[in-house]
Amino acid sequence: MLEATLQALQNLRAQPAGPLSQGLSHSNAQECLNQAIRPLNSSSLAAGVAAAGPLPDTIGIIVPHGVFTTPIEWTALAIAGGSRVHLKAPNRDPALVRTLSEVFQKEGLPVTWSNQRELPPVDAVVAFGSDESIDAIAKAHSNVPMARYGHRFSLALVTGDPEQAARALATDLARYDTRGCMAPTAIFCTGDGIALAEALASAMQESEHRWPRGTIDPALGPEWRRRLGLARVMGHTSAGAQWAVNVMQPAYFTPMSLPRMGTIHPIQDVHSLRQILAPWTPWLSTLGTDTEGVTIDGIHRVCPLGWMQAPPFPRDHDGRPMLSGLQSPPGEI
Amino acid sequence: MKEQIRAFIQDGGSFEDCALELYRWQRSNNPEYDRFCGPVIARHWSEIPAVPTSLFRDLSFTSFAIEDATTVFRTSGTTSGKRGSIYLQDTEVYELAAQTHAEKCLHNIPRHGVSFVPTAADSSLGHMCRNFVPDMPNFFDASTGVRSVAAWKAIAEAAQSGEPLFIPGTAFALADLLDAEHSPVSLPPGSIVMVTGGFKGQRRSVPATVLHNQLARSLPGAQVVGEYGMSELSSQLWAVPADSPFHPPPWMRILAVDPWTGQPATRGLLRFFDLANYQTVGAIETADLGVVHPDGSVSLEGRLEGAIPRGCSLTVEEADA
Repeated sequence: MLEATLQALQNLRAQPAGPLSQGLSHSNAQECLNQAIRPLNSSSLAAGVAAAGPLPDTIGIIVPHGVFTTPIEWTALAIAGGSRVHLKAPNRDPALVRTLSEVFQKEGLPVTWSNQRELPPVDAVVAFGSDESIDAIAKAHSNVPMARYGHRFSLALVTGDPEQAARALATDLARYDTRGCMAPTAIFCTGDGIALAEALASAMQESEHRWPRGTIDPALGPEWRRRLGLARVMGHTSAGAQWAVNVMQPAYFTPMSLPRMGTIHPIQDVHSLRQILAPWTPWLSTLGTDTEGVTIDGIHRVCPLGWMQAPPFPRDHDGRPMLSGLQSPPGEI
Repeated sequence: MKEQIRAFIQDGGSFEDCALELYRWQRSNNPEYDRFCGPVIARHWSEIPAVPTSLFRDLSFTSFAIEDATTVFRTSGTTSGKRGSIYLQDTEVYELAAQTHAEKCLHNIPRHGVSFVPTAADSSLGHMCRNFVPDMPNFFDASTGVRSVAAWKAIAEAAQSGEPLFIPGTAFALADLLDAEHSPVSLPPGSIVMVTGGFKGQRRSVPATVLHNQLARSLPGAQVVGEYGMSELSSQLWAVPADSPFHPPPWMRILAVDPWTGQPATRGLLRFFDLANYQTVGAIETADLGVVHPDGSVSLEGRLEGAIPRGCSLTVEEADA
């Protein structure tokens, strides 16, 4: 099972990633796909299976739209652990889920998919999504255990050299075009915000050449213009054709990322960041930082800058081992 | 500038010239707007930078010292939960613009009426309706809804006077009114039922055409018209009859733009260039979608759907598939 899983992943990695990526540019999509598969090897999968504990026979995974690689590691882990998997694809773009199923099936592995809301009989459900939509899914599958991963967001904290931080931040902002719960919604810095903004602007321009921005949801336009306008009036902004870097007071912190927009909020110290984030504790995910030993309530993962969108495998996701607890009694885990 | 705008509303003029002059004046007198515009040089009214309505939640954009404001209109906040504020030094031009275009579109505004619009002092809609017909009895409260039984009784009694009636209401308030058990009330000739707004933030929605037809059946004799306005605009558009396109006044132009690029498009996000907005900013970008017709009128096509949530999320659309 493990060997076949690894072979399926290699076959997936060989696919052109652009068409699977829900609108990323080809080079960005390929980089994201490689990064998503790279940590999956025999020892990490074995470690993930061991950490997960006993798995149910069949797992339904509700795949979100946005970060196209999301189902890869979860599917690989479940299959490596001996489960069968049914993937519910996002309606807007099922390409990755379809291809993922095909490469696993080709190796004789039990992965099926559909984009119908009604899942076939499953023994457990893993769902990603906003709280409201997960509520709907939970209601429909209240007879089985369900691991819910709702809306969360991530942040960056810079206390050191702006130049070094900027290059890494540009990678975090470019990957997946800043989609997903591990993308930095805001960059807090204890030093010179303008100096960091200037360095980040250069780095954003470079990463735009390397990994061009893909297609954008048009509905983000008004919010993009609102943020830029607000930064022009109340702060500082520099923008290229497909990116923007703003500097704003922390009072304007907005916990929603926009594609290739980095918003820097100067702060006094880590303590003030804790105060800013206190109301958001239930929704925090990852902190990318150049600072050792930072702890913030609600943050489940602290990583170096440049690695925010490349989480390790296996890991605790939202505070618990991936796929753990799926043998619990019916209901939310 | 106020006198120039007043003269334009009363006597007309070159929209292009006036719009560009207003733009330059606002850049000189409205520091926030000047910073918002940055290095832009507008050579045509359509190039004047439009402020997203959502920015009024964070910024005041006044072309006068804000401490001189005498009136504050607040947005409903149904989209974000946070209300925007629009500060005015005075409401003379606002009232002139509202009255002038309404009279042109409706011919005669009845002097009596029954109201189903918010009465709060910070409601621009309430202000406009009170300006048209002072002392209208009101049967709508934002927190408690419509007092339907009393409202139908009041309409029937008012109709007996033989004087034409003005019945302004938000779409959801009028839908609530129609839900109550009632017999049709014939209204005197010249009566007008004004429908405004949609069902944003409400528990339910009724298609506009259905609502208009139901109103026509329940209030025979009245003309059902549509009104489009918002706190961020000092002028309104009228659809007469209600299912026809909305017509702006001569001192307003509308542009549809691609929601992402902001470039002109056949159908798209609507930007309004309203000379009567001299106290704030002349150009506003709304969250409403529509088509601008060659004669300058506009057909509304609802609001821009929410973007894909940017976290680990899937939308209700996904969940309901």
